[in-house]
Amino acid sequence: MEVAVQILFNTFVAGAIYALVAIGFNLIYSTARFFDVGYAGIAIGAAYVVLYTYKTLQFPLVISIACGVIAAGGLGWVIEKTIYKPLRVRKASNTVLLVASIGVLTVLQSILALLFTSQFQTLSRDIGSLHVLEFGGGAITETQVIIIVTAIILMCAVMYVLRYSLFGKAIRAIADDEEVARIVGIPSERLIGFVFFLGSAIGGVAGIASGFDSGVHPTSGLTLVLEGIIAAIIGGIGNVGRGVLGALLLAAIENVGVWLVSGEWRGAIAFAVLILVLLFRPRGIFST
Amino acid sequence: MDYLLHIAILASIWSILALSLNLVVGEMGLVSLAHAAFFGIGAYTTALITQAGMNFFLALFIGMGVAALCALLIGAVLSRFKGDIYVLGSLGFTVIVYSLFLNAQDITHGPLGIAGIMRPTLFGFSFSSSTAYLILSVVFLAVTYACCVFVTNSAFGRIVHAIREDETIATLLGYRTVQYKLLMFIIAASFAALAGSLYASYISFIDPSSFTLNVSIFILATIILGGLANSRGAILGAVILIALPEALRFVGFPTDIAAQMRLLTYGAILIALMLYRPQGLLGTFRL
Amino acid sequence: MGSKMWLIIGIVVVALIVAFAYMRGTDTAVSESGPIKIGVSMPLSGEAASYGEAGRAGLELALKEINDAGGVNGRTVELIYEDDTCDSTGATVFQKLTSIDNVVAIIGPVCSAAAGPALPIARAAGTPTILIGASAPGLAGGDDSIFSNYASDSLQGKFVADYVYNTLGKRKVAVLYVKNDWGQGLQQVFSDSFTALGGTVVFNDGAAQDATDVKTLLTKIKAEQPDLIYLPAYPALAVVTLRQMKDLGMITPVMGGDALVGDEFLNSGVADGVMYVTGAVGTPDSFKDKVKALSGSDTAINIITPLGYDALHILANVIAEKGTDPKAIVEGLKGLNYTSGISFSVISYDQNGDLKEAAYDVNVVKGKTPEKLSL
Repeated sequence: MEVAVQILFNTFVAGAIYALVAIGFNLIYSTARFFDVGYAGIAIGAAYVVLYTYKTLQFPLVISIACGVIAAGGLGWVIEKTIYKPLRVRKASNTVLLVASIGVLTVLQSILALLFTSQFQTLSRDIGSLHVLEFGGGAITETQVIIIVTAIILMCAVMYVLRYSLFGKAIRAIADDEEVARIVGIPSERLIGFVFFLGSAIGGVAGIASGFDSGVHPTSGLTLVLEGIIAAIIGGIGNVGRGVLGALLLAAIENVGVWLVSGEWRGAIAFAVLILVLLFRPRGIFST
Repeated sequence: MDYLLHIAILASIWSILALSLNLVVGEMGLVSLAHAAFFGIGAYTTALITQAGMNFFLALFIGMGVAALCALLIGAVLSRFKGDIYVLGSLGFTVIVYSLFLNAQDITHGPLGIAGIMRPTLFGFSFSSSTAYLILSVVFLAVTYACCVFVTNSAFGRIVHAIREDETIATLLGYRTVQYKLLMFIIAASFAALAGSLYASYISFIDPSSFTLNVSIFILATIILGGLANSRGAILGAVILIALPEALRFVGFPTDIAAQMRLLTYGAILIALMLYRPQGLLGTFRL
Repeated sequence: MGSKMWLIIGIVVVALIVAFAYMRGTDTAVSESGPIKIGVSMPLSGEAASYGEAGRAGLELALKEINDAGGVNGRTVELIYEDDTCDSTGATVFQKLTSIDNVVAIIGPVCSAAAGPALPIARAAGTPTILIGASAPGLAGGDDSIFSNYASDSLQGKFVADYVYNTLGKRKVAVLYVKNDWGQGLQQVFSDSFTALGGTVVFNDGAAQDATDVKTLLTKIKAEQPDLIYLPAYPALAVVTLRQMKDLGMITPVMGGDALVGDEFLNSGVADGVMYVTGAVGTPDSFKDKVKALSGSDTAINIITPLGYDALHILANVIAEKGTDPKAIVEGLKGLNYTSGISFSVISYDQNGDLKEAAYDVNVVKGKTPEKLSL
């Protein structure tokens, strides 16, 4: 019984991090309509900004995280304006944008390795002061609870904004058909820029969360983001709420899979699930 | 001189990979990231069979056969997908096959790899010198090139082009598009396995790290650079992307940043290509 | 520009590269004067880059010491670094170093994945090569020009099994290893030896080098209630594991492998209380300080650092005595009995080129510093 509780906790923590990735990714995908792999570099870049401000410059925790998140958003915005926008204006296909984003990821990873070395580094200053809470036989730390709560809050906030605010309606219009939206008077360029800022910032939160949960390395962004993308797809791409559900489901399957089979196959489990879902319910498990 | 021969052999092998991927991506318009898996299947099959004593050329054909079989299974699933989903699905298959190479230790030795793979022998002549191996590779490259050009210009190829341009119309015209996509995929996979066999025998040691997702991305980059739907472009792209990092070794970046600078340059080239010349150097088809 | 133009440009680029390489490659013999060139093959980018960086730091210190003392036989030593990206690029690197740069010897590779493809080239050319980390069994094999400064995993695995069973008295062990050649090799030898001694391996599973979530694996381990966890993992995975063990409230003692030597692990904040194995001399602080003074205070230092340092000094000594003829260097290495090493107290090679003996120490981390335990 204890074991089941622990696995449940593990699932929630992992699911929360995937959910954060999926939320940001869904935001970007629903407006820009392509798989932005560069998102991975931005997410881990945010974690590195926190590493620098928190550990080297010794800023207080909240300010460091704020720096990281804003840096991520800013970087996403800049990349959109300089690289993706010219491509979009030219009506480049999804694949071109995908390949360009692969280039962006490679460049970001090299820069991070140049600036921070390729060592694996942890984010926390003093791990000794971890507060471990025990419920029903399973253990979970304060940090992990904060991550879960953050994911829930962000999910609700983004869903609320998308559904009820003017901004949200405008985003959904752009997602539907960008040209029509522009004709109707929606400043789509500015809004898309803002969506990239927001989505990248949320991705930054995911990267920072993952950094605190385990650690950072210049190449660790890609695995993280791939799992988040899979979560978004199996939930139902383009929909924030379903992405979060997909994240939980993926985390559950991974953890149960590792429990029943072996840790060696972990990497393949996520993709096997992806392929099965794509075969039988390509719009996502939770789609209507 | 040996170094140049070495680069030339590698360029030939990667050209075969580029040509075969071009069949799927350029001629058929489907971005597949699964190629590293078939490259690996060919390599491991040949390695295991030649170590058991069989002749390389026989092992090569068996390797192609095994890859074709796997392509049948994987392709059957993949051919139901379109666009971005196809890309992701193919990515998934590469990761799964990589996991298999890494974890099926009884067969593949996992991360320890398979060492001591012998060079090919034909009627008593051994291809152990680099020059001999280069000639062997170039011969296979020529064969691959001829096959690819033949397939592209045949009636089969024309139908595949039609599917690329508009799959719906092709279906309306009565063609079973899924079967065409599958067949092209199998042909491409077989040639990737051919390259894998050549690779295994040349390098004499293989391990899972040569067949990762990054390798699939690299092959894709070669044909994007060289130009899609163009066989000569595929070869050109492969040659440039193999030769360029080697040239950069001589540029003399300070050693502590040289490696990262190369990666950075590589990423920057991808971005610049997409921005300014998405059809690649010689391409006729824009992604 | 039309596509014809691009075709021409492409061909010109390739031709330039060929010409460049050809010009560089025109000295066919190792020169008798001028700097002594030694090649280095290490992973300088990608996941294993921190090992290459650490090796570089050790090599740079040795290089400075050698050249400041006047070089070898009056000639300065020059290192030619190449990035083998921990995979089959090693073959290309070795080709370049042997046929274009005409180095007298090669240090490296660090990764078995690079060594496998690369060594046949050194063997064929007769280039003396000292491996500094590649540990898959049999790499240095045979009576040839390949030597290894790093003891094979079979020795370390047996030592740990013996120590854990006899000295620590543990009977139930869980093994969590990193899925690469080092971790795989160690876990196999350890499990076999430990079971042969009479102990039980209650759990044996692996995780990828870049895994960030091993909580469920740890949950499984927790359920088995082992006396000790054997963790042959690289720092990244080790830190993640220890960190998440704390998250789960697990206090089982942990024994790691020699990959944990170095700041990447010691400064991580989770190292306190962890035991790990090192070569019998290891990486003393005075050595670390000297490396950092030269390469910067945030330099990565791990086991590869002293291995590289010793390899270069060994080559310098042998060349000073025997000259730069490759066969002579190989003879010199075969008869080597080097006692000024940082990594092991005595370095000498058996008939296969492997280290003849490898004594190990067990350290336990107190705070951020390792303390040697008596065996």
